[in-house]
Amino acid sequence: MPRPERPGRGLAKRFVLLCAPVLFMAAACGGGSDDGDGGRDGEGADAGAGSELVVARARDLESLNADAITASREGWETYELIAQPLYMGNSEGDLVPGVASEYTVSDDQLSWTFTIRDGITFSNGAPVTSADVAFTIENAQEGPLQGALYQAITSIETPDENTIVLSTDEPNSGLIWDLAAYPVAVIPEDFAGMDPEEFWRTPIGTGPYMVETWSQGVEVVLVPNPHYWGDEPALDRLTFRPVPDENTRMLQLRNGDVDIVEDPAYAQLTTIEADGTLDVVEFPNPTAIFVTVDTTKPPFDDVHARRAVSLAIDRDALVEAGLRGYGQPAGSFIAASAMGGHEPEFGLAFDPAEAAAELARSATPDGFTFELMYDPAVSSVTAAVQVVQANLADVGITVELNGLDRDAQQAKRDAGDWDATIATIISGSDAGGIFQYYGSTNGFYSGSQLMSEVESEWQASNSDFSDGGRLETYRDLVTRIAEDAPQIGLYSPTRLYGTGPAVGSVAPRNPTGAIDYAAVVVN
Amino acid sequence: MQRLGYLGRRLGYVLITLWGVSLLLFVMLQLLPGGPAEAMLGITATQQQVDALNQELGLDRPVVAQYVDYMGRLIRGDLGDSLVFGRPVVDVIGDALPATLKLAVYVVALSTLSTVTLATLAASFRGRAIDHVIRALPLIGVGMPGFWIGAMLLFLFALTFPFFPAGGIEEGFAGALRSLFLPALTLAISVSAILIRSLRRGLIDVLESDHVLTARAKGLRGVRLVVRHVLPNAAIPTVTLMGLVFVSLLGGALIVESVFAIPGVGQLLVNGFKRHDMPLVMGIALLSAAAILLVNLLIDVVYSLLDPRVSLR
Repeated sequence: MPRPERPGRGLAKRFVLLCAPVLFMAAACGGGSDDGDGGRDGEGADAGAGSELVVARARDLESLNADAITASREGWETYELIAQPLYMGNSEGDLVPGVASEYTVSDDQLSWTFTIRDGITFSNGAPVTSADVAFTIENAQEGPLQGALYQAITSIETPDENTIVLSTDEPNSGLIWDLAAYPVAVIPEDFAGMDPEEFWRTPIGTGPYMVETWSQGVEVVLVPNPHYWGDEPALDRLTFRPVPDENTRMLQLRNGDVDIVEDPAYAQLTTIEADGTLDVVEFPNPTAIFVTVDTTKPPFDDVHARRAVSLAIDRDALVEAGLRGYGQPAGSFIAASAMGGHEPEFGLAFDPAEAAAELARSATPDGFTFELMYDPAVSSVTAAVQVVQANLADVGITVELNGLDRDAQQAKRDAGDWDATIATIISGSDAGGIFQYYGSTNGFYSGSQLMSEVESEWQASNSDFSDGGRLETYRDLVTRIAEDAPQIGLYSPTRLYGTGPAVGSVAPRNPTGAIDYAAVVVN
Repeated sequence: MQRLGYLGRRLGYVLITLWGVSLLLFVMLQLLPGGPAEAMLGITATQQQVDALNQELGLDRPVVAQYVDYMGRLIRGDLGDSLVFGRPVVDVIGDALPATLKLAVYVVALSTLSTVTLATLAASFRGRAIDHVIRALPLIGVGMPGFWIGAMLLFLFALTFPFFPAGGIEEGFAGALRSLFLPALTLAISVSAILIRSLRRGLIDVLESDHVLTARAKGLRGVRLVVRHVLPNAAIPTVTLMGLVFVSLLGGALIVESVFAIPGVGQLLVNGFKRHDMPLVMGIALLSAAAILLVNLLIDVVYSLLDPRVSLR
């Protein structure tokens, strides 16, 4: 007797035959476009064969507006390839001529006269004049984010097309460093007749590269500035792409989709090191990671408690644990490379016995407990705070770790509900700006005697135009702050890159460890 | 006439809901710790700099005044300028939308293909091993987080067997098809997990219904029977779900866009939150809410057109 057919049984077989190949087709259809229309594989391959490089970054390029890029390293590092200030900081931390060929300071130290480099032109072929420089500085002064930096300049004169004179009311030896920053990278007067919004999409400057295309969120492509005054840029094409996920960045590097990844995760360095075709490149970086404490209430209103914490931390172990060795111990909240390129012995070196002695001298000789806030999104910090916790436990100080994002930390600080937090500062080429912050109402150590001393001595250093004199003041101030320990230096990470086989050699362009893409060697 | 009245009422509800969403978002963003000035200026900013920027951005005014101003501009169709990008929010979203749209279409296509295939197989072999296997698949799809599926797919099919690129969108139709396959598959696995169960149930009900038995008695078999008599009746709830999935994807697939470096609306939203770019976050959220509400309305209208038993009241 034939078995009754259940509904749908017959059609099921046909459906399998009909649909299964379609699923395979979907993949095959996509996979079959290898020889298609110029995708990433094509670009990656070109980079290896010619003078093109593709760089993967964690964050998107949000703006190229010289004022707005202050909160975005991607912004200022791209803009610095396009536009240059009168003077520039090099990788050694020294000033070198940029758009200007020389400068002099008047005897009363109130006037700065710059001579514009002979024959220098913008990327649109127009010559650079003193009027362009004057416009640039006036425009920077109006910037809501960076304008405050240039308010010290009280008058701008242009006696001729190649000379510009800047005046200040007070001597300001640090001004030259402010003038060596991206907000005053020289741009054409009146934005070369363009609408400002349009101009900042494709800025015109005197740098080695200029913007060819910029698709927000996708990529920005730079090509050589045909009128560049220096050596011919090494690359015919330089592409920056945002790739937020660190694992994807690494896959793209290993696949050859990109040639350089910025800031590879520490956990991935082993993978790069183990791959014979990839390299880890590190450059000094003026970034300091440190603990800052609330000195207005116990336990950290007691200098002995603060010193005990600082003395108990093994910074070499922090560098190994948090940075896999890619960094230096930091005794200060200012990276050594921002102090003139030296590596002075700031701070209180690791000494558990002395830490115990300091604790015994404090108001809490039997130890104390405090909450340490940190950003768990930063892998090096997450590893480092574990070491800090273990180090301090050895001397009887209990650390309660609290992982919070930056905004949540700030909210607790605003409410006065905090003991200590991990902070980061990237210094400029000159540490003066950091001291300015230190003495401000929003600074680390408001209202203290030490703050007043720091502020007055930093102000006094502005009149010191001698070679290295200002740096000596900075070092002295940093040493005194470190010994008082309202901020406790932990480590200074180096700037890291993962490079693929297309990259021959790279060198830093400036003190922040940005790659000099004008001089990169491509295999 | 009845239909027009219904549409008018529903559009009114849409506007009221959007106003509620905007108010809720505005209040929530105000409650977030930190602010755009601090985010833009960084840790070394002095209080004077923060105050000056807040004044420049108009953030020093009372919250109510800020909201009234925002709503005034919103009514005129102006979503304002992004604080981070310094460009109109509409332009910024407009730049990111094509990538998200392509991904959403791809997800719907893959989901439809896999859902129809697997649900039909499961319904056809009801109670057999293949049915049990297919019914278990959605549990895996729902159980595995998207970022893990994405990472595994990348490892397998971009690195170990490099059939697909490791993220990004390639140019051209073929390039987009190839580069978006893995992210679309990642999302489709999760989406199909829900859809397969829905469609399988619907197919079983219809396959056992009288009109299908009648059709079979008349000799109708196989694909023709399914395409003409079973799927159209079984698919309505699934199509509804699919529509909602598509619209929700337009608001951005936050994790998948990040893992696969897709420059879409999801990444914009994440960055907007990180940088306290309130106009951008509000713009994305409002446009997403509007899309969901309007598609819901559209679905109801299409229902009434397709099925005379459904009336609009």
